[in-house]
Amino acid sequence: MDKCKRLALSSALYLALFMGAMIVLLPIFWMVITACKQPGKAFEFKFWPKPTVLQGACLPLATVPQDGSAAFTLEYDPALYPKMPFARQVTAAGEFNGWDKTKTPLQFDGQVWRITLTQLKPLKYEYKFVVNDTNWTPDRARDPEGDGNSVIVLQPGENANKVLADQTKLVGNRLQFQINRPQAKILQIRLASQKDVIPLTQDAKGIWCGEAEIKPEDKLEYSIEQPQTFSEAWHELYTLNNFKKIIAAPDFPFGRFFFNSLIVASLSGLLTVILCTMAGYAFAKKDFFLKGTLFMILMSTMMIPGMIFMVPQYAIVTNLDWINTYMGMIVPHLANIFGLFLLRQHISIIPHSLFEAAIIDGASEWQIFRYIVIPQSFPIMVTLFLMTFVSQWGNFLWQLIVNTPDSDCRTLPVGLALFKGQYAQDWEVIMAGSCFSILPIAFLFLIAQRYFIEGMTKGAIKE
Amino acid sequence: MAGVRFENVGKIYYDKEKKTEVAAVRNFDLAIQDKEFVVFVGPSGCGKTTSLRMIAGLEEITSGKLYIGEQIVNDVLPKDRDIAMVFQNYALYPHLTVRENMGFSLKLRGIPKAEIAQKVLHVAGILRLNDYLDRLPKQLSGGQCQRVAIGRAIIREPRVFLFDEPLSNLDAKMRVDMRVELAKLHKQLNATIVYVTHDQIEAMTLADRIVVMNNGSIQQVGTPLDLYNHPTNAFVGRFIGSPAMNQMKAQVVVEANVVYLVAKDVKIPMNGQKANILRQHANETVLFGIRPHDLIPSREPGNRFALMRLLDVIEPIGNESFAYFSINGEEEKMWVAHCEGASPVAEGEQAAIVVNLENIHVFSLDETLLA
Amino acid sequence: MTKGMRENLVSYTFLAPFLLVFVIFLAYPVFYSAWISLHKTTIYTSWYYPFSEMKFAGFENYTSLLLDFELWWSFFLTICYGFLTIPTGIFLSLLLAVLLDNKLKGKSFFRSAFFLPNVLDLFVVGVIWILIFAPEFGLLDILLKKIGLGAESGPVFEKGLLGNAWTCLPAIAVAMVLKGAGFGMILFLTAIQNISQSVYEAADIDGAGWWHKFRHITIPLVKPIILFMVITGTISCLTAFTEVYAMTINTGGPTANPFGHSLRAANLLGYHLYRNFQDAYYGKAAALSFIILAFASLISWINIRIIQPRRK
Ligand SMILES: Nc1ncnc2c1ncn2[C@@H]1O[C@H](COP(=O)(O)OP(=O)(O)OP(=O)(O)O)[C@@H](O)[C@H]1O
Ligand SMILES: [Mg+2]
Repeated sequence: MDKCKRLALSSALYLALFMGAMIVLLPIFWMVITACKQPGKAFEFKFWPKPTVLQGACLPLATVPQDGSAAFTLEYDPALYPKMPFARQVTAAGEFNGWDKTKTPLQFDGQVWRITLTQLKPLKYEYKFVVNDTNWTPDRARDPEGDGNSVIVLQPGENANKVLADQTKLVGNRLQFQINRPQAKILQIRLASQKDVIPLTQDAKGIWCGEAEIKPEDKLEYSIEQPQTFSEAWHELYTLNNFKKIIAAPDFPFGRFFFNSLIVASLSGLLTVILCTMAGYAFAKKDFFLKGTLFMILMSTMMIPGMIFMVPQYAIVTNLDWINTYMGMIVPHLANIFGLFLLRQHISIIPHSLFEAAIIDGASEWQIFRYIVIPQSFPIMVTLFLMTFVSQWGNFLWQLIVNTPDSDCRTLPVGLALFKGQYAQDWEVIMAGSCFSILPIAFLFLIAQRYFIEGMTKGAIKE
Repeated sequence: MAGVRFENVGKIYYDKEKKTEVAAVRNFDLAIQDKEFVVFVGPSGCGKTTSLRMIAGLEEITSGKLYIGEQIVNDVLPKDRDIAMVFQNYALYPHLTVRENMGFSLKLRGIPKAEIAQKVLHVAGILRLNDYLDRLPKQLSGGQCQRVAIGRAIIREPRVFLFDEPLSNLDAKMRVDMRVELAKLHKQLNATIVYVTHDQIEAMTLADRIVVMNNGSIQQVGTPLDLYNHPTNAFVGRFIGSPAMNQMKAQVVVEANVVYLVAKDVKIPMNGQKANILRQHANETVLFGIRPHDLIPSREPGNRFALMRLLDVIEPIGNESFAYFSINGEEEKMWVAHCEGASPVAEGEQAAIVVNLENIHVFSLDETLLA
Repeated sequence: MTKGMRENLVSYTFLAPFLLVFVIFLAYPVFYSAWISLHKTTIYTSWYYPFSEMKFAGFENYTSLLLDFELWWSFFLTICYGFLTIPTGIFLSLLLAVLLDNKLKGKSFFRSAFFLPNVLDLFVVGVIWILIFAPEFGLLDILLKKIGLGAESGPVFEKGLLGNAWTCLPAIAVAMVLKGAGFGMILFLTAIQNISQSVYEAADIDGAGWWHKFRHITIPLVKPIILFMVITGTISCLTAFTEVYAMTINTGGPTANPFGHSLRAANLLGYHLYRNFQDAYYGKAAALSFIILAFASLISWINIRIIQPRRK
């Protein structure tokens, strides 16, 4: 009975702890999962792919022209325009609307901006895209190298590009499809104006064919249920492209940002450790003029909110011409009072006789430091290095301040903030960027957590 | 090798908390000969360590001059004094192996690796440490640690060895073994050794000469037997010898031309040279002392002078016994008598305690020797 | 050269690099800050050399700040934020520490899991939380809908937790408490494990119950940790910036209308300082940092008084 109770209690405890851990770690899981999702799927409450998926869609297809006029779909795929700013609004302007950029807005479907122009005369048209009302750009999908206007030449009665159907043709007032999806199980296509489903037949090659009479201004609706393998379904939900996109993005040199962060964090860590160990040694084992006073002054600055230093540090860095340099990011934070305190505490525990033995053995001051102090306080030095590394890796505010927006020394958090501004809705990509900043630290923590925990508790439980 | 000479050396510490000066060593005058084994003894806090550390150069000399060999070393850095020191708590470098610990000083001097390795092996051979060379200090026993510490000292072949209570962290058995080993080592090395201890057995067995210190100044310097037989003051008398010398205040009384030491109902006649000296101090209060070995309990005193006392406690050690009795009926003032083998008189019985009148030491009240 | 002089020389050589950085980047800035706080930027002040063309303004920065309702609003918000984060943080970490103090298999796994968020970049974590709190599509909304809260369609929280003036600050607080709980947990865990087991055994023999032991042994012995957490918590609340910057997308939160002023609902003091700095009111920003210092010392002093009453 008692055993039962204890068992129940401990499983309840485990459950509670597990739930707690999940909640605490939620942001990390959420970040990683989102970063791996296909574009536009960030907010879909779907984490496990189901092998058979219903692909439901309603797509406006070209209204079939009655009079032999042509239809044409314009597509603006942001992926093709890496140098363009993030698109909030895309319109098309050309000979078909008298170069009026307000008349023909494109719709965003999560991946591409698109509009289907109908009722066009079978002619040659020049046109351009207008992004965010200001940037005029040619249609890269049609002429990738083009700088001037893009051109389409339309034949009567024919759609110049494919949307849904692999082949859609108008014969008289009948629309004929051919859909090359042999695997699809049920394929339903109907016109918006009619209730009935258009009967489809499958030919020998597995291509679905059908035809229907069409009215002006009509729309085509389709739904396909296509059996997928698990891997297909998986890839429909998850992708690594977001990471690739970040690494490849030309105006966000993430490699560079990452490298900068690495340099800033590790140099800060290294130098802080050296400075703190040297000073800590002096305070722990030496007797010198004004020692007590100096220590008091140093310790009391620990109480001052860091904000107070921000403005003048910025001023000094400006005057030293250290804006946009590693120096500006690293040097101002090297005098880590907490680190000094940590090292002093630790070194003062080293028995005094060890130092005297070294003196008798003929060690110079520097040799004592090198052969006694450093080996003896190495674990705590590692701790301080890690703590500094982590805090400088994420020292967003300062790095933001000492870097102008065009700096080459921008670090990951700064770059990420900028990136976020530009890809405001591309959550998958933003999260992928965040992964670059979070995961190295999480990894570092997991392999060296002993040092982290030791250092943080040592510092806190002082008196 | 070289001797060490103190010339009126003094050391004053400044106590920061109390803002007072503490004289740890005063008017220290001592000449240690080359190859001599000198032991500093004295009660805790008497300045033994301080004196030793002044030789090492770990402590600044406040006044006077210190010579090592013929050189004044007051302002010479420790590393330039050519001395080696063995610490009470061993002070081995915890992160270095035994081999590296011993070779450390040579490494700092930039001696080639091969030569260091060879010397380490040689010294390890002397100290029987060959099997432990690759261990860390924490994997060694106390005795082994101390041997490593000694090895670290002798590998450099310094002019002077300094030992600060090297055996006090060991258990009793180990201490005896190491003591013998140190004595052997001294013969082998033929080196000048200054050794600090508060264990007088160590001092007596090891020393060529003992320096007894109290309150920062030298009380007496001499060979162990010299100190035992001829203490020049009451403190040395009390401090050297175990169990300690029995001491008591007494009045010098001359009755019918015989000199007596009188304390209440104790009345001890003096004779020979001592009586002559004491005669000049008639009616003065003096301090007299007698070693337990000069008080022998027996059934019959025969024709010798004896005190009749009740034996309160008898401690049989085996080959000898100590008998405790109260003198003058004062409970707290127990005297000790000594006899070979078992005591002839049982606990709680009346015994005749024979006093060896030859070996009575008489001091003035300020503790200096009178007779 | 005497030993003392040598020692001084050696010590200061070891101290020199640290002191150099300290004097230039910590000590001097305190005075520089004081100087700047008495000056104003002028129209000639350029972004790159902002301090060359400043004009003496006396205590104008201080008075204008102190007379501005916005500062007191920020102060009020900061205090609210402190009350939201510090007690909950302490409670949560103490709870975790007590739970993990058992002889539990996999203890170290939970310890790492709870501690991990602590070392992560505050800014990025903040951004992730935006995503979780987002209206309609955010994880929180979806989960709440799954358990049947909110309307069939549309968001559970109109404009999301971060978009609502009443819930913005608490939402930030929740995110920060969850992030910081592990740190306190480790501190408490160390302290609790340092309490000698024999003390608890003695209490067992006296027949003390679980609560009694917790109340009369654990709590008094972890009191220094609580004090430490309160003081560091206070300072981090007073200087809280990154979380606000990240989670309100540098806006300071939705608009609130206290007493007819139109102000931001998450405009904590630290963020207020940053805004002044960002808008190139360097003098005001510096003055504000001194005001924050004054608040910090005052509150720390009160904390120490309350938690550690004078030993008589
Ligand atoms: N650094 C110091 N500052 C102030 N006073 C000191 C210092 N070192 C020693 N003293 C004082 O000097 C006196 C002599 O100390 P020392 O260490 O030489 O004694 P010791 O004979 O070695 O004693 P022990 O047998 O206990 O080791 C003591 O009274 C001690 O309090
Ligand atoms: Mg000593």
